[in-house]
Amino acid sequence: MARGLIVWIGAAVLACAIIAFVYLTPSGYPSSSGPPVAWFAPVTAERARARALAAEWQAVEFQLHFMESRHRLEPELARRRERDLPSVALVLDGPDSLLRIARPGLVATIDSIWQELGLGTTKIAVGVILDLWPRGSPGAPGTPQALGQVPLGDALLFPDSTDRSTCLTFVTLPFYARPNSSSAHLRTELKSSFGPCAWYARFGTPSARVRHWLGARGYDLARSSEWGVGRTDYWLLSWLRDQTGRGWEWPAVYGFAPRTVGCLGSRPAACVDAVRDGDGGSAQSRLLVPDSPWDLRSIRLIGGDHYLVDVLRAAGDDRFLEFWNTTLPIDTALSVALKMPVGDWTVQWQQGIMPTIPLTPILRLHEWLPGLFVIGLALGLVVILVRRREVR
Amino acid sequence: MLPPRLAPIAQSLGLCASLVALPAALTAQGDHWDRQTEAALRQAAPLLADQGFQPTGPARLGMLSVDESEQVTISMLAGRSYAIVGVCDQDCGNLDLVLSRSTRQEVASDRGDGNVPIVKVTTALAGSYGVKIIMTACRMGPCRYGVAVYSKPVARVP
Repeated sequence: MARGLIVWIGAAVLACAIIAFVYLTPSGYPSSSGPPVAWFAPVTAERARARALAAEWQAVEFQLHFMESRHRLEPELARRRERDLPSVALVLDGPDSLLRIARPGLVATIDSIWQELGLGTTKIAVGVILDLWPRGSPGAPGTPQALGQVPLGDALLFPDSTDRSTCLTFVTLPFYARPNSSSAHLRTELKSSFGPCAWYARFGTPSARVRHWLGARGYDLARSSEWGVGRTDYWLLSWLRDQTGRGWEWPAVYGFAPRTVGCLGSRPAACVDAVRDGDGGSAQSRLLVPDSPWDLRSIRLIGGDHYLVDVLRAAGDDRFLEFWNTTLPIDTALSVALKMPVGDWTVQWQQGIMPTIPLTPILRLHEWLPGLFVIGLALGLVVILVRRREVR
Repeated sequence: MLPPRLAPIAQSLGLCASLVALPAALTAQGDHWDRQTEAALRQAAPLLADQGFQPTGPARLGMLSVDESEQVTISMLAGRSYAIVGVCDQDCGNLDLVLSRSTRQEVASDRGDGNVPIVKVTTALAGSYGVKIIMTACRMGPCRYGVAVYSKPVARVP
């Protein structure tokens, strides 16, 4: 074999080894002590089908429960309407012994939350159905826990043509009777349960366009109604940050939809895409069973629970009400309300919640130096070989 | 036909009857917005009574969000003049009324910009007619509406 050829092969193998050493090192892969990666992993087809069936069953259970509760709430809501009292009423389910003790405190808490939200007598009343049955305990025949075994989660029923002026919210408080359950925690639970119903109470039924848009995306942007409270830290942030607090847990980040990550990377087009998703559809369902917060693919905007709260804060009541009743495309209506392109506004809003994620390839010093070395080596070899082949 | 000297008395009686009949029809205890709508209907009653109209039955109250509509069926007699008046609460910007004999045959309508539509018609044919109430603009939904039907015999031209 020619000596020159051996040199070439040797140089190529060396270059490959250097490249492999630098780029194939599993640096950045999450350590075993990181967040539970399995939570972010996609589910199997069988599990997805089982979940869909369970969701259908749950929806039927909720519909029945809401119908029954609506009848129970009607006298109290009518009484409050006639006397111009706060438009919120409570129905309690649970063991009789517990209900007797719990009712006064819970009624007072619900009324004070209503007051805190700045709501009084509203066109759309909110009926709160609290389920205090302890889960997991053996129940008597005919009691909900004996019938269900699968605990009901929280759900909402929006006003419809059969009852245009009542929004119902169903909340399970299975740990209410436990001695260590704090009143602050209870208050937070109850307040968050108002969610989209509070928006209906404050601004009325939205236009069909807004209703269909929010319905198609499970009211993800209207989950929080904390318009009187300043911005709080976003709970998912600590899951997305690595142990150093500066890097990212990439498997979790990759669990989101591309547009969600794009918006996190400060790309206005991706933000607009994430905001207007669901617009122009015709979602008709009046029942809302919130998605699991761990289903990352269903999250369109990170921190989206507070999106409409922040839009309201930026736009003010009047312009927000115009948006709420709009017939325009959602991104246009939001831009009008915010007085700036919704993509740019959402980028700024997203940056206020999460640091911008670097989406472009960024090479650090130890990554690009070996590359330069390989290039230099190749050039040097070429020069040496060319010189040797010179005809003297 | 009443003698001319009894006409003013009859008109006064009609006005009293309308003022009595309308509140009786609106006995349902509602909220603030229901009461607003009822008050608006009461205000309309004397104006129509001045024109000789009398209520034909209880007023219809309901609520609609923007771009929603409801249809109510009313019976009309031949050879009478009818006035169908609609009112709505303070959040309502525009309410329309459409009177039709069937789904295809529109008889009269008020699709103006106002929130107190009135449809006046003299019927040649007796029977069931549909009144479609359309909430075109409502600042904070659902907006309450009220619809009342008045009638009077057709005035004969001398």
